[in-house]
Amino acid sequence: MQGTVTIDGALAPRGTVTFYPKNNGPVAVGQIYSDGSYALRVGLGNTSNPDSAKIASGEYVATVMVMGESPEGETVAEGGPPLAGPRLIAKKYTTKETSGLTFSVKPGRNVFVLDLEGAASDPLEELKPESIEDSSSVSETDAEQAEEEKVPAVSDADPDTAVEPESTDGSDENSDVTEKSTNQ
Amino acid sequence: MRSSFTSFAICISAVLLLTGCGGIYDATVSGVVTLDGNPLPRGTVSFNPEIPGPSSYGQIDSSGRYSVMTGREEGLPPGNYVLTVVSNEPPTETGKNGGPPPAGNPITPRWYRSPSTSGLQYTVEEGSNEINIELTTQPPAGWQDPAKRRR
Repeated sequence: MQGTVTIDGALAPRGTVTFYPKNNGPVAVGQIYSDGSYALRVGLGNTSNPDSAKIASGEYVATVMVMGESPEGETVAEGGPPLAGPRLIAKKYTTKETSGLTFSVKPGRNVFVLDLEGAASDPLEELKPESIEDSSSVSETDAEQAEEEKVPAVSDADPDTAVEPESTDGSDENSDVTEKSTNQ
Repeated sequence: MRSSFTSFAICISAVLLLTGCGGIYDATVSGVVTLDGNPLPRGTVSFNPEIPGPSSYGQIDSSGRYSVMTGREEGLPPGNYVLTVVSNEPPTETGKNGGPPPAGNPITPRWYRSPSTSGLQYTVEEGSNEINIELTTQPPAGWQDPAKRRR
């Protein structure tokens, strides 16, 4: 089970992917490499060939964490590990209740692309007054579309109204996620 | 004699090229990405298949070269693809109060970010493919920047 993580269309530079089974079973984890790719494993996985580790087929909810580079020279304590870098992806992807990343892992080879929104799409941004661009050519339909696009983003921001991960079909929460698989 | 050795060598290299490192996909793609003739120094090329399936990606190195991977594996299935290219400057400032740094300024024009507007359609053949992607800052006919249409 492998895949690629992108943030606003660009490959993620580092981080982790975690797949939680919807029913009972072990959690699968994977490191995101500098080229955006990841491979999942359970426990130690296949230590002689990490990319070919296998996970159980079934339904999963994924969470993702991608951090920026650590601030240079700063450590948690004297001689301690470096401080964590800032989060680069939208906060909703970091918990399974809000990520909306549901996948059906089939027997055989699976490749899942996680096409994520960057941290700029966080709710905090929406509270700020929008930068007003000159828009003398705005038509009414365009304005309406812009309104419609904003509505699901707001409901995303509210954990109470977030749709349960089970309901993937047609829900707006998943519109930004590419869920595809191949069997070979 | 010399020519038979040469053809033998060519044959061996062809076999090596075709088999690659024992990849699981039947095609490999690499090439150079340029914007108005200049190689892009960084960024991402996405190969989005016309048929259902996962996208494949290439990371652009400092000389503008990329090669395509699907997940962790080199290569991709042969077929028709629509490409998108995203390249940003590295972020110049750090975020406030430990927040995320704002994304760097885009290098590539916005229409190359979406399969519906990029106009980059390619067919990937079995074996090794060299696809050089020549981008231009000249907008396609009828292009309207969505950012400027917003209120």
